[in-house]
Amino acid sequence: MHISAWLARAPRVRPFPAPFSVRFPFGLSPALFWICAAAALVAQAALLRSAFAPRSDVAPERAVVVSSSRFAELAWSVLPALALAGTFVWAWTLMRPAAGAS
Amino acid sequence: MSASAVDVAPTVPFWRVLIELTKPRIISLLLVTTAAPMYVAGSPSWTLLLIVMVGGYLMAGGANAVNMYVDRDIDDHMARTRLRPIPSGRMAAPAVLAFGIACATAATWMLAAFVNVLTAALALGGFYCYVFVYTRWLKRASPQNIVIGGAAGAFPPLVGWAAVTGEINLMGLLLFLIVFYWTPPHFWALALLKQRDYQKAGVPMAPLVWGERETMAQMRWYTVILLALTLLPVATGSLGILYGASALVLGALLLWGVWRLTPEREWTAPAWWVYKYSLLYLALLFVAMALDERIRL
Repeated sequence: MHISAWLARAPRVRPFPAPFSVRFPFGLSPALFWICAAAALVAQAALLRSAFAPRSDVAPERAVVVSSSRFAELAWSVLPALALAGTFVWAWTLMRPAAGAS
Repeated sequence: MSASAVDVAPTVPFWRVLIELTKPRIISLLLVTTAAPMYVAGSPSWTLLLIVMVGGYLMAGGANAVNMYVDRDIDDHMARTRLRPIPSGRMAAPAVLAFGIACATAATWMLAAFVNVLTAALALGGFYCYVFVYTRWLKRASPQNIVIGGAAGAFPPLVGWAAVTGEINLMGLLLFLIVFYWTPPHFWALALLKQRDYQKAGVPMAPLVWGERETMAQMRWYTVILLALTLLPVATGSLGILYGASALVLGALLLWGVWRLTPEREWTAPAWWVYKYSLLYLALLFVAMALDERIRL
């Protein structure tokens, strides 16, 4: 048998999301989700605040020059925040039907 | 080139220099974060696991070698990197570049031919992210170098996931983000400790731009997000109680370590603790994921 065909048959892929019966008690899942979302929101907001209102206590003789633009610095802060928000929204859209059913 | 570096150079055999170019100690953690998601995603054969591990090693090793080529001008200024093959004169820069590209090419072919094209593309994406986005672009330009450049180190879980499933879904993205948000507290702990080195090399690491207080504060916030992200797979039902308990305990310990960092107190020992423990943390977290799939509570 060709090695590619041999490899292709190997993995058994699990469904996603996995069956809730063998997982976290589902009644508590939305609560855990919202605790995680709230913690992430507060922390990400603090990081964005630092990006938009930068603070520095580095002595001028020690500081290293940053050559990227202010816009780029802000973009590098906003991009992960957007990815994080998208992930939480995506997670909730997958959880919501099961949460409603329970 | 430093005199002390040259003194020790000729004693190392050539094959060990090639291994050294790949930074094997760093790759060992990357391989854990590649292998564990494969067992979360399904039941890969030993052959598939072996091919993904070898391909992953070659890709990451190639990226590390090219990184040494690009950074050859500053490596000699830092005590931590002075003994690397190029600054110590053990290998010529063009040969290091050729070795890195050859490794990456072999890895791309191997993963595309024997696993799937998505896996090869993701691994190559990690290579480009590390070489071009981190090393060439952001490392010397922005204090966000570790944050955005850290995405390169977050590709291995995606590679492992795609090798088994042939696609990227929410769980794959979560694994990516876990490593992404783990990177700043881990590397900034080292950056705090090696400030003098980075200053000499002119690398704008966070402590040299924002200062120690702000860097430590941001490490705390990144760790809070990391903890939230690691518990999210439990909420969605993707992973179970065993993993959830592990993520909570391991994460709480990391948060405690990061919270101890404050410029008002002696922070060198706590920073070393965070740097070393965060390595163990990531490895154990991913092992717990894989075990959770095998031992269901």
